Amino acid sequence: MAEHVDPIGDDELLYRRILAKDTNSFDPTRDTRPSAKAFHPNSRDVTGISLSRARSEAHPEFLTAEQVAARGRNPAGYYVAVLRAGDLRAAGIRLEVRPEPEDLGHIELPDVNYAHRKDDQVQAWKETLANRLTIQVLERFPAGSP
Amino acid sequence: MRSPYRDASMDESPSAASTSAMPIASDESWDKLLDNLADWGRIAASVDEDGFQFPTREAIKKSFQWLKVLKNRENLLPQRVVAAGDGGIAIELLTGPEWSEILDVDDSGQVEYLLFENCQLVRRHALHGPKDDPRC
Repeated sequence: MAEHVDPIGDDELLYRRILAKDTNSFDPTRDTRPSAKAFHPNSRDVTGISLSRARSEAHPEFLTAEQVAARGRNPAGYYVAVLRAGDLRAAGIRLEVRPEPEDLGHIELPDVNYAHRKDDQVQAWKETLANRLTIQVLERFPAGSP
Repeated sequence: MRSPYRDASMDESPSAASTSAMPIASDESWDKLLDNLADWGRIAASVDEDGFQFPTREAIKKSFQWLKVLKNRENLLPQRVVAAGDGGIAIELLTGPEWSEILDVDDSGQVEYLLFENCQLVRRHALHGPKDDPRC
């Protein structure tokens, strides 16, 4: 399994897509940090919210931030939050490798899932992801073709 | 820094007594927030291509009531009002790494007050206030 062959390094950067329009999850004119709701599971996040491992010299097979955004289908486009894998682990947030054909670096946070989205611990993790662990939020990228 | 919610009991609306540092807002700022809710009303509960569900009518109605309370009693403009993605709305009074205060309105219109200190949830309780407020 990929989990054993290709574990996520603590120094690896991770991308989280943030819907750019109409949700107010991120507004760079008002705050450099996203809302915790940028990490809130929706009904499709049954097995956890999705992130993507960043393309690097060690992992040229993974996607760039622009390509991660382009996998989204909302025509409004997306911002992309950048986090570091080791920071999530240090905060007690588990990561699971779940490669997909179009995103070999796809991972999930299995404990941040739809069924448990209102749990105290998940609420705290979302706050942590938004306010402490997001290193930066990259520019708004278009959805669709990368 | 205090908010009108921090010492509220289960059944209270925000008290008129507290706050010293929350932003005092212009009518224009409030209009923008309320217009945003109205915009969500036109696509209420719809689900986008990625499974993101916009706020339900129940969540929008309750959020509108709470925003009116905030405006009429204290003129306290929330930092952000966010669509949660599961039909709910978060009225983020103030957020940051040291502490955050949020009114979390779920898809059925139930409201909870959440207080975080250093990103840890230290207080959580239901709020029922606006339904009894004659101005709402």
